[in-house]
Amino acid sequence: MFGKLTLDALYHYDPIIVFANVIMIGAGVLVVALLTYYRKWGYLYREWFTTVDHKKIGVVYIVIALIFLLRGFIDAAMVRGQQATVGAGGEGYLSAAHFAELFTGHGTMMIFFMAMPFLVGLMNIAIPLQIGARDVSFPLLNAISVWLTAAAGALVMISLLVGSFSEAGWSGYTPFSGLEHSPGPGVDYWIWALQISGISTTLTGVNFVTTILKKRAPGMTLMRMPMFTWTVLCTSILIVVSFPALTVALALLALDRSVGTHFFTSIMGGDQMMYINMFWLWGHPEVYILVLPAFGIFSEVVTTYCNKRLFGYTSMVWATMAIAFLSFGVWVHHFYTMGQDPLRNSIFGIATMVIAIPTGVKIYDWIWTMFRGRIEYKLPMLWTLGFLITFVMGGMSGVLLAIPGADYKMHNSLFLVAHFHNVLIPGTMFGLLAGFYYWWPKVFGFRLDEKWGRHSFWGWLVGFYVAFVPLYMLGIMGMPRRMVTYDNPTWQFWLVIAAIGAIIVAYGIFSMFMQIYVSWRDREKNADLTGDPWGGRTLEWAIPSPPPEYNFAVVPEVRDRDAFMEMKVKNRAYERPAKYEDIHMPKSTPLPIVVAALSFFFGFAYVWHIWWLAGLCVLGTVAAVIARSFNDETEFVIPASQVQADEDAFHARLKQADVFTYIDGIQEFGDERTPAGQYVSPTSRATSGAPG
Amino acid sequence: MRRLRVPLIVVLPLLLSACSAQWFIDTFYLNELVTFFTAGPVAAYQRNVMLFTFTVMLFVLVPVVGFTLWFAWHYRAANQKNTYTPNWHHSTVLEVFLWGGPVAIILILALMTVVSTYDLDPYKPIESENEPIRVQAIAMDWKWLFIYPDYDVAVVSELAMPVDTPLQIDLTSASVMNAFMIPRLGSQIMAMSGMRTRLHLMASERGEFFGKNYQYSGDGFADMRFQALSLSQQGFDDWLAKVRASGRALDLDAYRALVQPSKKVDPIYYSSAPDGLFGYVMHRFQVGDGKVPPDAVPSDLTADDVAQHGHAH
Repeated sequence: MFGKLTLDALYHYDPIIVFANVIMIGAGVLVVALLTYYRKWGYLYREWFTTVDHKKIGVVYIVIALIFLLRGFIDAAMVRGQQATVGAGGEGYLSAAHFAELFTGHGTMMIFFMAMPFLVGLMNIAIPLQIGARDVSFPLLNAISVWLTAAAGALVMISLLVGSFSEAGWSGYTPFSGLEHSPGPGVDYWIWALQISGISTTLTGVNFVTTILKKRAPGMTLMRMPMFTWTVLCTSILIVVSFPALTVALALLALDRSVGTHFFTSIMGGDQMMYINMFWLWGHPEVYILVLPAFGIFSEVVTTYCNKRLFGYTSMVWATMAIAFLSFGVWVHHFYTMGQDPLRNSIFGIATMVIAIPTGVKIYDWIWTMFRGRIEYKLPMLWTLGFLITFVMGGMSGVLLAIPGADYKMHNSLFLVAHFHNVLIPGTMFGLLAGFYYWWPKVFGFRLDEKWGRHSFWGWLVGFYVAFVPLYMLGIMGMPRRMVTYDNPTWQFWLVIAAIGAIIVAYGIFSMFMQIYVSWRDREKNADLTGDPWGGRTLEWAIPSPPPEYNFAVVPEVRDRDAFMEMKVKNRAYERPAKYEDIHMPKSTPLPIVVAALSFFFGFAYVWHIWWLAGLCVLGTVAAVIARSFNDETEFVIPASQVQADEDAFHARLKQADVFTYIDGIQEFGDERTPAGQYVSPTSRATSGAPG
Repeated sequence: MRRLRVPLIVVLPLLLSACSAQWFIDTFYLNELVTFFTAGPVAAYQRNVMLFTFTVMLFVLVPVVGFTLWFAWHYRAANQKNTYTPNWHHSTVLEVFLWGGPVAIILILALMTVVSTYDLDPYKPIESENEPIRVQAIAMDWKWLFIYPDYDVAVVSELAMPVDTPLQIDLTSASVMNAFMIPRLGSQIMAMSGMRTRLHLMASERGEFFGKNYQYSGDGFADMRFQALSLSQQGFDDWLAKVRASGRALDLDAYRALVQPSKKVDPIYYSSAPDGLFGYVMHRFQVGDGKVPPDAVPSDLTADDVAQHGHAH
């Protein structure tokens, strides 16, 4: 009846896990109680659970990301705490198995349930607005994606209570992750959490490739797309091409574990190295999936807060495409030490280094965008500067590890751990946090608090260095990663410093939540009346904050890369048509949460081999989708009168905020080579000469 | 103030380092940076690769950090006197440098990569006047077994070698994937069941160095370490005599007991080991369930044959 699931699965020998469960269940009960007390369930169902609006879906993604940021960070802090306190030859407070669950959980959650949802959330929020669209191409699919991610996250969460999580590392190397060496439910939880979130991500990739290629406003040619849109296009293409490799690898591993095939086992002709190949065939593009949109965010931030056009847009586009293309040719650098010949290792080493070229160009382009700008030190600009200086060091250690001869020595050491955190924290996390602050007012209609934001920035930046410079040192001292204990007493000094770094980062994370709370408390004072709080250059700033459900009352016509800036300069911003028209929008639907719930139970049933339930969930999903296809009325109409009323209110706010004076002011500046008021379009002028 | 500051910045670190270099070394355990304090030619080569790369990469680091800080400060909005060119966005000359710089640096590093990768190929024998010693390493849960076929002995958790004599180490695993490394001697390589990898190492000074499995392999992973002893020729002979004196034979029953999971294993000496055990262990993954049954090791099964079979089965 219940497969392998017995009451034993609820028994936890480790008091720390029991405590974590009490906290998790307590928090869950509290949330449910509060929602019931304040009678918010109906509101949540109507406005959030069933919505197909890309902006709300983006918010849900980011909520998921913030929850898993906390969980992933707690795991990291416990790993740091163990290594700092265990002392040479000691036992510490964690068992080896629990320690392994923690480092596996940390990597899995930070990549799949923090970074990915965070960036997909920002994509959802910004992309349709940036390209002047009313929604993504497939709004229903988009809603299915977000709730699938939630279902996958719920599987990770439930593994804390029922059974255990994988101990095989976030990359789940075979044959360790095979049934013989990992017989428990942990690896199965890991497989199905990744599988469900992977399907969600693949659907998102399909959705955004289509949206960006098909839904751009008239006049927005490819070479007039904002940089963020370009990077998201590249990322989406990477998702569509690379995720199938992960899906297949995990599916074969699941077969090995559940029906006794031998794809990746060490016996019966199984090929343990093939899993690793397939994993990194996805895994390396994944690094760029995470980092490219952050690069896009930095481009938006630099131009906005330097009040200047992006330097070298064409270079940036080509560099982004080059990175996307090259990212498929480097995966072998994750296992130089598997004994292949020097020719193969050299080729992949050089391919890896070559990626540093377009990456370097992008960094220089941001720096030269600052040149002769008027840099306003708002929070996103601080994140960008922190990124530029920190990331270049991660790039340096990356080039070092790209050399097979050096990697033979540093592989699997803490140097490697320091390296990829040094790339992903500034490269992805700082970018996401910059984008979080940058687009927050667009979504919620009020700005985030600057003071707590700065605390958060300094916490992250200083904490990063204090936490990861020691790991570089320890790597050079020869300390391997994933050690629950060690017998070299000299390592402890650096591990204690690293743990202090983790505490400083914790302050950064705490400040971010304080920032959200304080900003929400003072939302009246921080209100963004105009929809353009930063003097923005792209289309999302041309509409009210928060935008109406249909985004654009009239689909804008794009004449420049910096589409909205051109409108402001040419004095055609906020132009109103003679007459508004009815707008058709997709209706809310419960299908996505039904599919997600069935997927969750499918994953749970597969983990515990409850085959009847797994079968029912598959049938249920198919039935739900078929039932939905009989529904012909999937759209509703927002009448022109409603649009007119929204726009009247918006224009009243614009007048109240004295926007038109500001727009007149913009026309005062200009390039010193250009008479004031004359705007030079980059597409009408080939070059404007060298600086100075 | 301005005059005073520059010399201070230069002099202060010099003063500090002159007076208390030892303090720095002691406090930050700088003498533990084994990657830089090498004890063999492979590790020394790798250290040089890293230092060379680091030096070349400074040509990236310094301008990026320098320009970032300079522009960030100089073009702050508060400083309204600066030139402001909001529409300037392209310069062919500058772009040539921005692409050309990284290309030049990567060209240099790419050349070095090819040369060093061939030189450091773990399968490449190390040139020496002394004949190499063969070692067969089998990774288990959670200890290393080292067989010396030339001397018909085997040891757990200890790897002795005469100084200035190359080791030719063949590796396989009786369990999951493992990675063998002695940091002060250099180069890591995976040990995988049913397969053989090979690594050449040499110690050029005497001493005791720690070695470890670097690939996570389960509960006993953290304690899966061994001592590498670099001895004089006389010391090595004495060590062999000590191993042989143990009188414990590594027959198949002893092997089957040894291969059971165990943690924090202290050195065990075996005075003899059957020929072909290494190949047999590999072979059992190719044709069986990976377990070694208690019948005799086939006499016609050489490690080379088994390794060549690879995935044929």
